[in-house]
Amino acid sequence: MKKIKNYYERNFLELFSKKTIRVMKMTMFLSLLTVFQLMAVESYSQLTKLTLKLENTKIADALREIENQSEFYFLYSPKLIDVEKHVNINADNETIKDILGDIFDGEVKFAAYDRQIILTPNEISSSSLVEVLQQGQVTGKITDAASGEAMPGVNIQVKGTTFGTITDAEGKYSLSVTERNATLVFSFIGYITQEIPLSGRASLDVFLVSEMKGLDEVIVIGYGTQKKVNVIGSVTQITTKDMTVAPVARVSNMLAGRLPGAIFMQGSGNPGDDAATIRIRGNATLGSNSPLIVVDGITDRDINSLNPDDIESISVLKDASAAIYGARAANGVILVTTKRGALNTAPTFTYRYTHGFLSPTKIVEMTDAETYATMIREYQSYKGTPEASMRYSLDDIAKYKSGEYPWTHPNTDWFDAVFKDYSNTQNHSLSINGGSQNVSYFVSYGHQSDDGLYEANSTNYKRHNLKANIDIKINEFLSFALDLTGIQENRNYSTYSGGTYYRPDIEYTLYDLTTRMWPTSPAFWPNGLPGPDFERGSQPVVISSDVPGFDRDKRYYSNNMFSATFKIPWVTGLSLTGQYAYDVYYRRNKYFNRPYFLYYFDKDAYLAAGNTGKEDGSEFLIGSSVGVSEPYLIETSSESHTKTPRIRLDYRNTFAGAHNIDAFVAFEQSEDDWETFTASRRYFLSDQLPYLFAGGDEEKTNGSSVGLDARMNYFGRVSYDYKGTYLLQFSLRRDGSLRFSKESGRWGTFPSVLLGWRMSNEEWWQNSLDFIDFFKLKASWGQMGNDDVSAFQYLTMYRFSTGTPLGTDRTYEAALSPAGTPNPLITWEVANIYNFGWESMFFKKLTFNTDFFYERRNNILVERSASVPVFTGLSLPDENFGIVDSKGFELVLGYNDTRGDFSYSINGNLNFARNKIIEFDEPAQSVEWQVRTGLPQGALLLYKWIGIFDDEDDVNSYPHVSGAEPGDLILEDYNGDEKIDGLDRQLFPLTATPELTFGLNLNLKYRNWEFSTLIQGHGRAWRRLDTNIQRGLAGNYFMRDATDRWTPENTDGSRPRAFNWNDEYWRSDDFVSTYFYDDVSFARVKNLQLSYTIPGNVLKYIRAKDARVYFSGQNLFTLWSAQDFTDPEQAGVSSYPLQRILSLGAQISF
Amino acid sequence: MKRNIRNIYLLAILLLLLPACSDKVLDKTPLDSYSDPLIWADANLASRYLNGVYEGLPNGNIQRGNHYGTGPFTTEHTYLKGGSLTEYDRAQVSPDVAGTDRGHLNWSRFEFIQRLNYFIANIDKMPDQESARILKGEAIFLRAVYYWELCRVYGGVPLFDQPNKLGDDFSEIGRNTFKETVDFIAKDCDEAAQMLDLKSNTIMGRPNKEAALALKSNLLLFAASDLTADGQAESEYVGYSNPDRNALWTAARNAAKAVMDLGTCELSDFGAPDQAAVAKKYFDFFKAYTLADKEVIWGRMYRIDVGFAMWTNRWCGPNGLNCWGNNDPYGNMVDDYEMEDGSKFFDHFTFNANKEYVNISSIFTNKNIYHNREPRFYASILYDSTLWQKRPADMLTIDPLGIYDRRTRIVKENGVEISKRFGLDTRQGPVSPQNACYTGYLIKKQMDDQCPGVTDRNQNICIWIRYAEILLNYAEASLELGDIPTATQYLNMVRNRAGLPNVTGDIETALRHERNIELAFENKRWFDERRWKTLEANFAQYLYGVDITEVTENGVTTTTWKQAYAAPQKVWHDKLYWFPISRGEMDRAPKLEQNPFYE
Repeated sequence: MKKIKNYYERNFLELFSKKTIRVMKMTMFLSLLTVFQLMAVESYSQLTKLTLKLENTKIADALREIENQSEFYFLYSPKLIDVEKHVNINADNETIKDILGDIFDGEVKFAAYDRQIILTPNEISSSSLVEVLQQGQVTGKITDAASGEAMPGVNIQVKGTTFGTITDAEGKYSLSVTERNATLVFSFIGYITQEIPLSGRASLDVFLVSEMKGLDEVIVIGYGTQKKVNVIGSVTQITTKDMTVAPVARVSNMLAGRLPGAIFMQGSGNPGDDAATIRIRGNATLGSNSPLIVVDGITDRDINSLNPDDIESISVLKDASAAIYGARAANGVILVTTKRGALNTAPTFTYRYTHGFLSPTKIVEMTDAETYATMIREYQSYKGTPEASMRYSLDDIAKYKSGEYPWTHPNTDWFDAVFKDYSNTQNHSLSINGGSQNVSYFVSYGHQSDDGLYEANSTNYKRHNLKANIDIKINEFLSFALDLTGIQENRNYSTYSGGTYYRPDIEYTLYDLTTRMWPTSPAFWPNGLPGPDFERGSQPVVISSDVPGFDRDKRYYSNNMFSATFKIPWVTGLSLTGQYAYDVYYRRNKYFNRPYFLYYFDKDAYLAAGNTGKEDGSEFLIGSSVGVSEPYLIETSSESHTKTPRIRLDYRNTFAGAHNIDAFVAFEQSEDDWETFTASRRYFLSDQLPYLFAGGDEEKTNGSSVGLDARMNYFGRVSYDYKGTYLLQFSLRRDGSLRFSKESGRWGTFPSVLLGWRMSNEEWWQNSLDFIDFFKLKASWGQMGNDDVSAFQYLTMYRFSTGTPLGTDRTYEAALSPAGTPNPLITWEVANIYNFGWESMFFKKLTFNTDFFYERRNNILVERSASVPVFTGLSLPDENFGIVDSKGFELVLGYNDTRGDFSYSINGNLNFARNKIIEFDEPAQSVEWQVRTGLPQGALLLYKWIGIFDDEDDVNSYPHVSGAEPGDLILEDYNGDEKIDGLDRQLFPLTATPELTFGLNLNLKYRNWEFSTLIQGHGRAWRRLDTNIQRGLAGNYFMRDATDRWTPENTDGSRPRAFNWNDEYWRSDDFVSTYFYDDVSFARVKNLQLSYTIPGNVLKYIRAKDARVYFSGQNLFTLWSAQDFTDPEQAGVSSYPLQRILSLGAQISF
Repeated sequence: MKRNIRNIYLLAILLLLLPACSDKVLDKTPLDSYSDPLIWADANLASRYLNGVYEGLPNGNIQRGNHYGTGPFTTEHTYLKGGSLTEYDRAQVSPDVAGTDRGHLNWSRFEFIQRLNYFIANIDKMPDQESARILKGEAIFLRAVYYWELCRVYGGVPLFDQPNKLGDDFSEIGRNTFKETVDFIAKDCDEAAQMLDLKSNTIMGRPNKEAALALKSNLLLFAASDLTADGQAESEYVGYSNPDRNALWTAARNAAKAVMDLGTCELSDFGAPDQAAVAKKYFDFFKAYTLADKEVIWGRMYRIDVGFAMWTNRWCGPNGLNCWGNNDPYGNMVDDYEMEDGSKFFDHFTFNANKEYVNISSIFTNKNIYHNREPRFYASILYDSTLWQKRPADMLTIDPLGIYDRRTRIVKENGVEISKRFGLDTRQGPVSPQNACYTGYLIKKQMDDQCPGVTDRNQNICIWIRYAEILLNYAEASLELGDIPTATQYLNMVRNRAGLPNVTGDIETALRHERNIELAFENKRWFDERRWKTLEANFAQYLYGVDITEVTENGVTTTTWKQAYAAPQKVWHDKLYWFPISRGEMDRAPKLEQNPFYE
């Protein structure tokens, strides 16, 4: 039985050695080491007294018994020392020296190096011990492959013997071997054990690679990393392997369901505009709830333009662990770390290609021509419209129904006309990583390309990512790192298909328009010419193309960081790092409109010519130029710069072999500035040159805007643990922001304390609860801020605003308008976040982790608009008031097992977060059921829809809005005062941000096959899906409003009567009811992947290291959705539909 | 040692990576704004401040972004394209239901009063006292304008002549009475008139002395009218308790007289008695791009390229031109236009049992109801067969001239319908039929026939007040004081200018009629009908439009004009004379009192 050697004791030895020998040369060191170690033996060997009674025992067994009783361990060669001899020992509280003297009776010399005792035959004089060792000696150095740092305390053993040693402070070792062909075993906690045959060598340098798995995983925690076993904050991390399985373009869309406590809501699938909204533990404030995004240590970098393949890990800091980000931490922090190379690893070239097919998960169902025309007739009849004024006659309806009159009575499925069956997405990703002795690198190129769903191929998104992370080690004290990132994104849209509209007259999205188009109007005439518009040229099949112009958006990111780390040689564990990051962002947008043609049908002339609607009507089509009257160009360019210098001093050390300290202090500042330039031109000679210079001089506009931001931060953290069992972390940050005034509010201090107890390290635990392999309790408190409000609200400022033409020549004079009433006292929001939880592992297979949290957000920055009367005329600044509490939990349960060639794992997470307004700017007069205090923020104040008035009697029997008719919504008379007014509105606590989120991940692996799937969902969420009320005459009806609607014949229908726009009270803004809201809970198969790894013998043949092919799908099926109107995640019927992606891919590494 | 020296050197480099660690990085001011002291030091900057206050000013009939005006609250014009009613017309307005803002929901304009009070409190700091005088006069005038807009919708409102401050206690503030509010505004008008220069000496577009006095005239006429001064007011917030009617009317007359006495304003000459000339010039008068005409007292100008401008043509133009066809005059309004000789339309036409217009005249025997009408009819109403804007290329074969086309043309042979063709601007037409109106009419007055509404915004002026209104104010106040000759004289001045003969018969009816016609679509009618307390009768009217059918049978063409459905019947409630204060505001300010009939 081999003794476990304590890691911390070794460190203690090194610490002491380092102090003594820091500048000595190697030979001197070796000899002195011996001396020192001989001295060191005195202390332990003199202090340690053993009692040993053995009769007729083999020496080998006796030595083993001593090892068991003490911390001594013996190194010897059985060929030189006869340990088979039987001896008697009777020692009573004797030192090791005496005992060994008794055992060997002077035949054997022994030398003690602390707890290690080397036994040598007596014929070799102890004074020449060093030389003896050097004769059969192997020397070398052990280095961490990732960091290139020397590794002290690594255990080296000759395989098959107990003979071995450990590395010294500089990672060097020297070991005497008896056989030149022996195999050495190098091991260190947290690193992969390596066995290397000597093959006659006398020198062997080894690089150890850390094993990033299970509990030995390293977690990025903000300004540093920590071993997972030691993490005591609520931090979840996902690594690259889990992310790249999703065939989506944006990092934020890969994470849903995978990071407990973080909520990702993807509302749109528009290429380039499909990023998810991120919330951590729900909404905790009345103001901005956006988390802080940090990429490679720099705040506010764009997470969505990253190449997912470049990412090493993504961490979410949810509790006090975020406090190291001080004034911006309250909404949680997301840390993205990109990949780096490792020193002394062979270059690996990896290429991956994925091709996917996109199609909408669900398209909202609209009525067909017959149903639509019928409903319009119903609506008009309710309004008392005489037959002659009816939009559609009964004859028309019959013709729509027959479908035999394509020229006069078409029946158009607009989505079918506008959308393709599928479109394509592609990703190429190639990288080279590796490292020589002094330089390591990760270099990559990625290309993403997504096509739009429109039949007209005008909409697409393309991205190029270039990345180089280079680490250069100058010497053992000094190293540099250079991180270079270049990203270009191109978004090509038609003038209508993009997310941003510059033209003031565009009031709807293309998707919205498609839902509004009348089914009674043709997308294309039977001869293929495009049909008429809705109004002013809006015909979706045409405006989704680039015929009416284009909207081209190019974005360039250059994110760069230079860092230098200097290990201060005269203080062990101390290092100084300086970093300078410079990020430039440039965006250029060209928005060009030109006239285009649509075809109108002269129906009257066609019919007059004796046609019925079936005969060809081509000659009755009238082409018309629509859209703008002549080409029109808007160009916008914006540029921003962010400079972030940082300096930090790190100290990491271990005392007395048990007290581990990892600490740093740092200073950081950041400066941002941005400027935007816009110009527009009209009166182009032709549409061939869409550039500013080619435009006319009349009505040209030029404008610009500008802004800045700056922060200054001092911060530090101390992590301490005692033998990895008792864990403590403390951080403090002092932040200054230019957003607040120097006199009050500019500076804030943000502390945090985290405590952990790894109970499974305790002896009593191991004795009685050894089926629980790992158990760690953790608790934390942190105070952090949120400053996400506009800057300079403490100043009285006047900004340029819309002016007016004055004077006889109508000279335009811009105006200066006050930027709002200043609030000189404005400062941060303050969050106090408490977290409690545990991490555990049972039977080495089952993990069960929990976090419970409570947060109180104080000094919330919002306008006091509910108590300051409008008549004061004050335009209110954000003020620090209001308190919101939030609480919730996260549960993670996982199980993994291996049965022969088959291994599997299943991981589930369930997360809940709910907030409650404790104090709020709310007038006292509100009736009690409208008091928002005590309810979640964002609670909706709505009338409750309780049914449909069946008939006149029904209307008269219940309080109603004046003018209510049969078929209208019954709104609940909540206060029972026999009338429907504002006091009947009730608060409904659910919002679009779900209170409940969950994910379930299943992985199966059999030989070369691997299958994984992610089921993900939301619960307790509500959303208004029908966002555009322009229905009826102003747009097609949704099928759900047509099915089972009230009609005089169907008086107990479940949906109201046919309506128009907001003519009916229940459709107006004044009587918004639960009718418009849907429960958007769901569970769906978010991702599924099947991959096959090419077997080793094939790989060998093609000289590849690794190769696999895979199928991957995203948003595959909805298992359950509380509503079937839209996709459950889509933000509403106006949003571009979410995409189902089916993809095939291959990856190969050389 | 060598290495140590090198290390120290590198350490120094690392430290140099940091710029000077001082607060300077944070001691910055915004790059995009001016500071408080700077504004008050420079007359140019201070006047720009006032330009910002113009943003909240009304834009006439076609209000701001909400673009519909208060016309639908009367029988003047429809809500959208007709066929439905506003919340107000359905008597659904309540503290919870404000309905769509048609420019009348002014409560939030208190923001501009606050801005002005801040300006007035600081403007005396300006070194250039002459500039300060005019700027202060402007500010006081603008404050009066904003309070006037509030007062005529809500009655008495909280009055402030000092800026409010963040953190003040507002809980004790309630409404001032109607009388206090009127007096406050009148005082501001007087002060502003003192400080401001005459229009001729003022930069065009900026407030002037005439405007200040004209505002006072409108204010006092409103105050003296039945709604607030007949002694029946439900509370002192919506009228005078124990009004001295005579004094009120005298004040109103004097206020109008004060404008007239300046002698700087005159009615524009439209070329009367040439009625064709009047029709053209009356239309052109509102189509102007500047405020130069002497009849225009104050208004706003626009530019196509910069600043705020309205889409009047797009919003109100015909669907056949791809415009939205909103705000269509009802048949009720159209039929109110007199005949060219000043006689009533219904003296010459009547409806038969089939609701068709039938000519019963011995003078004007043409069956076409649009013939022989007074000049302002042709300038104000877009009716069937009016020559309007050129059609887009595709329509040129059907309509080469650009005629507003509301006819349904049916060809019959021996009683059998051979073909039927709907006009381009009808609700069955080929282009955007959903944007076609129910009434058959569109507004022409204040539109610009040179402006392609589909692509361009309007540049023609919006007149806030013009001299004709002052003369009508004067006539009305005189009439109420029993001075019929003066009333008649000034009423005739306006009529004669429009090419119409002198008034006959009931002078009060004639005067009210003249206001409706002369000031049509200028966002006055709802206020007048309320002022006269005639709104209930107005609501009771059946709202109609016109359907025009042209039947050609065996070569003989017959055209009929028939009353058509235009909107459901309006619902009256006495509360509708005033708008309610929103529940949210009542909750914020417990001392506010609600308007009558709203809980």
